[in-house]
Amino acid sequence: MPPASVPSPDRAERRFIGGFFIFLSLGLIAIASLNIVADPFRVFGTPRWMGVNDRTPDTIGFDRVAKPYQLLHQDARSLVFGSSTAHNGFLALESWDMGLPKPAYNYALLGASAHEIRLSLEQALRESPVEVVVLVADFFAYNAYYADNERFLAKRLDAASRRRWPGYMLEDLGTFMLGIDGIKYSWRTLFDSHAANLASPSASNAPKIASNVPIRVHFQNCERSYPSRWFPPPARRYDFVDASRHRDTLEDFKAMLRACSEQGVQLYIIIPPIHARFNEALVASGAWPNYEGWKRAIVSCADAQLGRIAAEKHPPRLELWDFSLFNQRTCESVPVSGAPLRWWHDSAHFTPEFGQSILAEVMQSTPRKRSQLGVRLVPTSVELDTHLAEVRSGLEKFRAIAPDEVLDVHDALGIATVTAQRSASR
Amino acid sequence: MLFNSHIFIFFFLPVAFMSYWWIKTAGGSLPARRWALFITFVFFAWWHPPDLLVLIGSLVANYFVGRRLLNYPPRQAYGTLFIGVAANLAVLGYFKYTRLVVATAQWLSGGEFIPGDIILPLGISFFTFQQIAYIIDCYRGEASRYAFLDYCLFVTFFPHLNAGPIIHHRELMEEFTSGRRLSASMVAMGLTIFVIGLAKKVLLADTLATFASPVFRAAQHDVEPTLIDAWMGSLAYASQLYFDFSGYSDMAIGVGLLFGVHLPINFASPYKSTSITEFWRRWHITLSRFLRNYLYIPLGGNRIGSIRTSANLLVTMLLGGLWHGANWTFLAWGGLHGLFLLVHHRFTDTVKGRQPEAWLKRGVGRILCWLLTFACVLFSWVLFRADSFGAALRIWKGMAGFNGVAFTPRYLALLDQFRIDPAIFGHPASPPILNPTSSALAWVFGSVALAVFAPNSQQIVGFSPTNQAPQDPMPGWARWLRWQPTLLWALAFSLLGLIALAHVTQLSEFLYFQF
Repeated sequence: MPPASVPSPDRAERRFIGGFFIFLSLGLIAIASLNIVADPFRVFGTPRWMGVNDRTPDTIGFDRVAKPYQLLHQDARSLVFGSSTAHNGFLALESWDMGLPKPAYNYALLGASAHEIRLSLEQALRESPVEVVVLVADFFAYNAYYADNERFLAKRLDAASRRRWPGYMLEDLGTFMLGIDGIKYSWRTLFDSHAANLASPSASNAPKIASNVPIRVHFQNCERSYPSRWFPPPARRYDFVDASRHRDTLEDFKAMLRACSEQGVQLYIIIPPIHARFNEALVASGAWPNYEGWKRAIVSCADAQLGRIAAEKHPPRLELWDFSLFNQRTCESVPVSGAPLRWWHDSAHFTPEFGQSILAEVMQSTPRKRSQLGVRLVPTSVELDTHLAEVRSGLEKFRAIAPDEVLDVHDALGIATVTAQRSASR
Repeated sequence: MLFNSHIFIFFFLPVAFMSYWWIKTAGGSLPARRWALFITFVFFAWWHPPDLLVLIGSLVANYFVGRRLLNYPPRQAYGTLFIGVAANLAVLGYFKYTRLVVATAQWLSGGEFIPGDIILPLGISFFTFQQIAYIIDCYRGEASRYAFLDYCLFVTFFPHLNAGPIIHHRELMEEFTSGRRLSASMVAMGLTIFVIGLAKKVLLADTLATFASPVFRAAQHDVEPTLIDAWMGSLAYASQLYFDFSGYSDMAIGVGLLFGVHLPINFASPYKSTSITEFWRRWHITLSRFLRNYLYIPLGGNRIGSIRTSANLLVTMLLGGLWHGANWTFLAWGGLHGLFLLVHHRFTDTVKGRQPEAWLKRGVGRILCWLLTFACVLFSWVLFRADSFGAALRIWKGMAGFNGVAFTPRYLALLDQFRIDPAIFGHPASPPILNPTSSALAWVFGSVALAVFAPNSQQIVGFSPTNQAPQDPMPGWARWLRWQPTLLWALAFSLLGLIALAHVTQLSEFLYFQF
């Protein structure tokens, strides 16, 4: 007589394990497919199909993770580097016709330090057929005490390469394929593409001002928040060198100059325009001497590099422009409330319309044509001391024509000014 | 490599699991143990390969110190023991506390010293303590002579290498040498506990960090958090820490089970404690055990009079505090808990056998005990999380209401609706840091409620601890949560796993001030 079949003692557990893995695998496959097809971060290079995935949402907050991979699908010949100033001011760069070789790509990272920009630039030079680089140099980014953003990873820039398999950092690949943010943004890409904020990339990525915040308060918020970038805690100092972290921002700057020269890439360095109120904030918070010192330092570095490459047979162009002047645009009146300004999102961030004029001035400048908005400091077109003195006198004029705005800035800086003065006296 | 990483979950764990059991089934226990050690070294070296030298050096040195101690009769070779313990502490001190020493010297002298880049090897606090325990047991004659391979495996076995539990050598040796075969029930249970741990870590702890971190960061930058921010920040941190650490311990236990190894329980619902002594029986149980057996008792424990007992307790807690991190705030945190324990012991002695003792064990008395215990723990976590004493003080001030109350526009409108003047709450020392939306409040208070009322992982899974961890019965209302190896539970846990996996490496959007 055959023995009666005895159920295995752990049959239920085996079924549990089998069921668990089947359900899990099906879910993972579905999520990965969704994220690859929608590709909301544009990191897989998935073709864009009208009505399916042609409208990607605003993913600005994820730029540090996504841009190194986006770059690999661009084949960019022109690149813009910098922080939020460059990001917002040259937002629709891809569609502009300013004499930049196409395709052009905006590789600016919000709040980027000089170190982050240097590594990103080096990655771009390795991976793209770059001919022109526009480097928007921000004062705060060159403070050695201003740390890299915690989302920035140097190893990501090494991994994001066409020459290395798989061309992604494994964690990032997992995140793009299976992460909750990927799912959220893929969903929006596929099903929410007609929403108003997705109408056009340039509109969606523009800085958003909370509708209930009066415009002048919005400017004040910006002026209030910046001193902690100029004098970041805990050091609350501005310096090009922080030995404890082996950080030398001028070395980073020089490395960028060298890298571009060595690859024969044309380099245009732009000291971005800032609103006259912001100049006042720099003075009131005690950062003005550092600001002028920084300008002198980067001009000197660029001059030295220009001297080194001058002997070459076909030296690439190297220019440094200062747009932080006092003129009608930088002194645009900030109403207490009302519609947004034409040239400014806030005191530190100019609009793309202004950005277009800046690029036009830089790219289409000729020795005979004098720029209306900026001054070329390298190669020298004006004595630096004279130029800085002119900027200072411009500030005096602004104080005379807009005393209420000056008081407004002082009001905004109430606490920050005290902090800066206190730290300066330490 | 972290348990909550894609590389571990999708690559390392499946490969390690399948290869280990294939080798064990085909070749027996010894080759499997060799393989387990190899994969442990790969796991350890993944982040920073040079650290492997530190680990191997430590293993070799301690193993030979242990062998030498075992050659002597118990409690004879004190010199060898002293050198062994001192060397372990010196290595730990160099890697973990050099920066603290330099920073302190800098603060005291006003000079500027720049310490070299010292990278803290993964799990050094854990493997150092385990080996100190081992050589002390060798000295006491309470350890056996193990093969070098087994010794290395006990110290380093990858599930407990990163963040504990702190293993005692006797606990693990039998697990490895037993001829245990791959069992579906252990795998099912291991997967379940791992998913619970992963969910605790990435769904709860990481989300709670988004409420706690801004408050503590602001306090470090001289901002005075106001009442709502200070309470939300500290409550969120208390929950974050519990779900983070216990989640990681659950994952370790789950992975251990996949390899047929029972690791000791490390957390048993600590926020349910009704006294600070009970809290330490439920919180980081294996560390408490280590500190009791290898520090408190050798110092004399409670055998040499009340003053020495108090001093021993205080020293134990101070050093236990410093073990958690290289900052004087950790030392102070340990000291604070030492004081709480002293007060509790004195109080218990006073009320023992009297009327209040019975009252405190039931009803309102019990609730008051819980409230006081939780308040003490919460109060001390501020010190644990804060980067400096100043930051901790600012948060405590905020919790006490000295920094006023800052309302977001939404709440100001609400107050206005009820014609309440916000000025009656005092002038806020700073604008609001957090936005206490209903979802934020639900996260913070819901997570505290989960930690206080919900059954813990071992209650859900029905996992019996191998150590002396407290075992609570499953509450009646939560019996439906008792795990069963059914397809429905498989679906539920695969869904939980899927959601947790989607959160494993959340990109955490960079919110650039106003836009």
